[in-house]
Amino acid sequence: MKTESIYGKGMRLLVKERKEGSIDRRCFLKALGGLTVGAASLPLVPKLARGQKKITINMWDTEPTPTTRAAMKEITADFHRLHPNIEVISEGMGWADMERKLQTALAARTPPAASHGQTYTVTSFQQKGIIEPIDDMINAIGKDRIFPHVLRWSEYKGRYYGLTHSWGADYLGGRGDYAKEAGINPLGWKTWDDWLRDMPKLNKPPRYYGLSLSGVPHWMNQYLALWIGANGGRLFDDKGNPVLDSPQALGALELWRKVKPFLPPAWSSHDYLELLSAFATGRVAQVFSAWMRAAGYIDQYAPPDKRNPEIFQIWPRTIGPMGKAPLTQFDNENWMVFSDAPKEEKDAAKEFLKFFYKKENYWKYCNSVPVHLNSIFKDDFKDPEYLGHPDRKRWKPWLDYSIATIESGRSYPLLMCDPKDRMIPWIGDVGTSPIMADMIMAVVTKGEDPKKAAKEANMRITRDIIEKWKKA
Amino acid sequence: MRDRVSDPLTLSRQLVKSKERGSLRLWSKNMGKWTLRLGLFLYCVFPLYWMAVSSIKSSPELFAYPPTWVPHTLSFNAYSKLFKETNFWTYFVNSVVTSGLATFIVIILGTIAAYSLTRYQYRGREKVAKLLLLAYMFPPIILIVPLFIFAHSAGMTNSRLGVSLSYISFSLPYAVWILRAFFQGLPIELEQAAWIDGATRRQGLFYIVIPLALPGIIATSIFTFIVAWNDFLFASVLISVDYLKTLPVGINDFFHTAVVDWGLIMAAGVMVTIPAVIFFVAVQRYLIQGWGAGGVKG
Amino acid sequence: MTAGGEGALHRFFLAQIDGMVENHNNYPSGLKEKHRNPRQAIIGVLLLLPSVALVLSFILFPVFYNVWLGFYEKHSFMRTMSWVGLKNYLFLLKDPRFWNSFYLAGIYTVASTALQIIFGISGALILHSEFRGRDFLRGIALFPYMVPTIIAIFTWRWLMNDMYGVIPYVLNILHIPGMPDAWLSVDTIMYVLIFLSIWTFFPFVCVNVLARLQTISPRLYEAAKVDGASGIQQFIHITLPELRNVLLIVVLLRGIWMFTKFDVPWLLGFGAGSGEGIRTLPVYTYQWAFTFNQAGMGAALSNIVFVLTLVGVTVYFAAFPKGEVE
Repeated sequence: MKTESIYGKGMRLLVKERKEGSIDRRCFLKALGGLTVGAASLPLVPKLARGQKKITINMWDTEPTPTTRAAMKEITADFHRLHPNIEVISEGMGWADMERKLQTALAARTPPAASHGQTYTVTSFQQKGIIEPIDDMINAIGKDRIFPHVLRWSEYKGRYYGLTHSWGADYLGGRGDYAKEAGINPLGWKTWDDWLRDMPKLNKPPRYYGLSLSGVPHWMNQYLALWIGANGGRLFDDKGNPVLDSPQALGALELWRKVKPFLPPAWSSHDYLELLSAFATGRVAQVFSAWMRAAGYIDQYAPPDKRNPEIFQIWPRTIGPMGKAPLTQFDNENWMVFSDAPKEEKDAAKEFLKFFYKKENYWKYCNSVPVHLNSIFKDDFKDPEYLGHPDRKRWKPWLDYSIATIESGRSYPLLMCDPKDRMIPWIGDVGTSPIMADMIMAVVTKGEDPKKAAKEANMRITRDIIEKWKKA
Repeated sequence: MRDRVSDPLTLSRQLVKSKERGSLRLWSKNMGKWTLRLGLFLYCVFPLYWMAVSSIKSSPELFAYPPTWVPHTLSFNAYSKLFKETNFWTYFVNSVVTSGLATFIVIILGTIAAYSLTRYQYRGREKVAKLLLLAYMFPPIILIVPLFIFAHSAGMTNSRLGVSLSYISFSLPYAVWILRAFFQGLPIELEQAAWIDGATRRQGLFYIVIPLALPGIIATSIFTFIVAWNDFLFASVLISVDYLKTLPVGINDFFHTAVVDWGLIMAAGVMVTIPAVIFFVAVQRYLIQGWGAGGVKG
Repeated sequence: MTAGGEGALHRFFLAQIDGMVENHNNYPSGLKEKHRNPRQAIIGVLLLLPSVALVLSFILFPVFYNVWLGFYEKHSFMRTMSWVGLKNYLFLLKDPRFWNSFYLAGIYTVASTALQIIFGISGALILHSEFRGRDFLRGIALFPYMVPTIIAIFTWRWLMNDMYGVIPYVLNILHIPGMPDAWLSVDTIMYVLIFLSIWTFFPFVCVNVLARLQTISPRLYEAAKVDGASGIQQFIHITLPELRNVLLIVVLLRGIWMFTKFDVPWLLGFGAGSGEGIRTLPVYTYQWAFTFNQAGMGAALSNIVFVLTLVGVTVYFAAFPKGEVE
């Protein structure tokens, strides 16, 4: 680097002259100080690119599991063999880290070529032109091979802005052995009343607690959305304004108040992953929103004789008094390509993704966490080789459930109670902020009047998120 | 005045011992002292004990209720997984390099800066010293966006040198202030006597100030190292390639895998802290020990 | 100086150490003359320069960026921003949540700093005397500070957990009255936060105080014992004044750091759980910037933290003037 060599040369000359005695200590110190300041204040010259044609792309995903990283390493290495001038740096990280890194990268105008993003992120980014359409890439991969229920969430005004890396559906997880012990039949549940009627029988503290919910704000917001949806309501009206004081939403708040006695006492501090461990070790009888990754927790933490779907069951989501059909959450994290990235990087990223979705590579990825990362291709779920994976065979009832939710269509991405919600650009901000969580805490733990709390939450959402979004 | 009492130490020792010999008070005083020492030990060590024990329990037992104090089933899976399936050693080396370099530079720059602040006089000296504290007046997390913009434009992202430089800049303020406090506690006339005798400032610094302030210098280097070692923020902002990640960033990823292995996290915690504890215990003898001031006996 | 001259210096120095007792706080006036010398001043500045340049080069841009951003409304992910002047600040002044988070930050800072100092000094005193296993215990005492924050906090969450925690379990068995079983829930999580902050950070105080204790001449204590001073009197009249310089700066640093600490309360709630129990000012700042996704408001909040800290530091320096070198 230029700076270093000037500094280095200067230092050597200076020391030599000092040793020779041609400059005295005072001059030496002055010159040393000058050099140091000079070196520190010059910006370091960035490294030259190693070769004009070499393209390095950053692909950020949210799967830091070591087995997935190993799979990605293989896939990127194979890709590099085919395209020696493209180097793919594939990095996995948690969601909070992803959001922070994306923020800093976008602010510095150096986004990665592509990264994962939730459905609500794709909505807000495409509206502001931060990401670009990838129809050509999806067509090349084979649009018709993809589950329609997966693809529908990435379409905006006829163009596709994202492609799901793998999907999943959440469920109400319950301990079959505890149900038997209580003499109840959860599979017959239809309404909230059924659920609440049987809940006390599943609650035997301190051996185990009846239900578990996470106290982290974005989880609390999601639970509320699911319950409002199950009660026939929506978080937002057609214009995107919050309607938390609607009867359906108030009904959902009421349900939270009613289930609180069956939660572990410090539920407001629990993170959702702890709950999966608690479920696996039998300290809670139900997890309201569990995911396929719970299979991994069960395999790791449950007693060896209990690691099967007979003990760890999927129980029906129930509907509220004003609802008609239950609601599940659809995990739909998309690959999105950033407009601000240089053109050759974007093209390279799309080439890589086309390679990534090829069967031999994609299956490596999905098999790194078998039941959690589900393939987006319809045919894979009919393919005996795919289904024959031992973990997928063991947890087959869970996979069947996931497919059933897709086919029913009542499975929507985060914070959505209705397909129309998809176009609201600010649901992401509402989902990650603690506004609704504060409302829930006020009503459920401090006993405040629900209508008042809901109106205040409406006001906060409008003032702090929507109005600012509209100006941005 | 330089009063030379002949061997006051021995004298006082004799006096003190003769007072205490054969008294019950001595025993209860000792008992009290050992209770305090034990209390300090338990207070510091209990979570370490829990971490270590959890790292060798089998996964199901981690969440046993009632909690088990001693593992019923031993399992070293967490450790083998840590070394075989994760990049632990890479992260370890990166942490050692960045933290070591940062500590070395901070001690050098901090010592001469503290010397300047206490043994020289110039206008604005106090103001500049206080300006250094500006670095700590924001929650650092809020600075990550501009920090990244700055680092990126200076070419310091994805480089261990860049990470070290960020550690150096954020450790220098407290290093300078603490060393300044230690240097302030040293009587100036020792050096003065040396200067009168013909010694240069540099010799005064190296032969008088540094040796006498050595405990403070060592304490500062310990904390600079630990702060750099444990830093998550700068490393996560500046580094995005896996092979350059430091330990805290690597360990943070353990919390976000598809299935979180709590035993693995505990094993990582043990591996990160136990070697450092052993090192510091071994080096104690040579480090925190002043010249002619080895501690009050009793 | 010749080699023989340097040996003489050593001998001279060793002979002087005996005289430290009476003279150690008197600085003869001859010093002033030596220092009011422009040549010396320049050298002094040059010695300080590298440190200051390094620190400022990293800090100045982020600080100015933040101050500037506080006058705008900007979505954290989007490119556009609009000038709003003081609107962010006016909003915060009327925001009950801002005041609540300021209050929580204040409690956290004062309680944890004070207790860290007390525990730290006590620990240093315990570790100062010689006993078998002292070196081992000194290493152990440093341990809490050495554990990576995320692991330390996670371990404490586990220890205090309502379902698996060994500490609530033991407290339960001991039938101590009035103990909550949900330590980490809204009402009591602040106590856990303070307690674990003491555990994590008291070694900083302890080791710095211990290092200073090691440089106090034992002759001071011997002389006092001969005069018949008790342990407590020795502490108040010898130890504390000797510790003054170091303690003043340690209290200042710990205070600043606890007030601006984000990761400890954030991670204890595992991402802002437990409602507003530990939603201190830095946590609230983070929430605006990274969960509401409003960078301008986040910047404004951090500027408020900056001003509050600056005010605190200024008051501190006014109350405890330093500069005993002259």
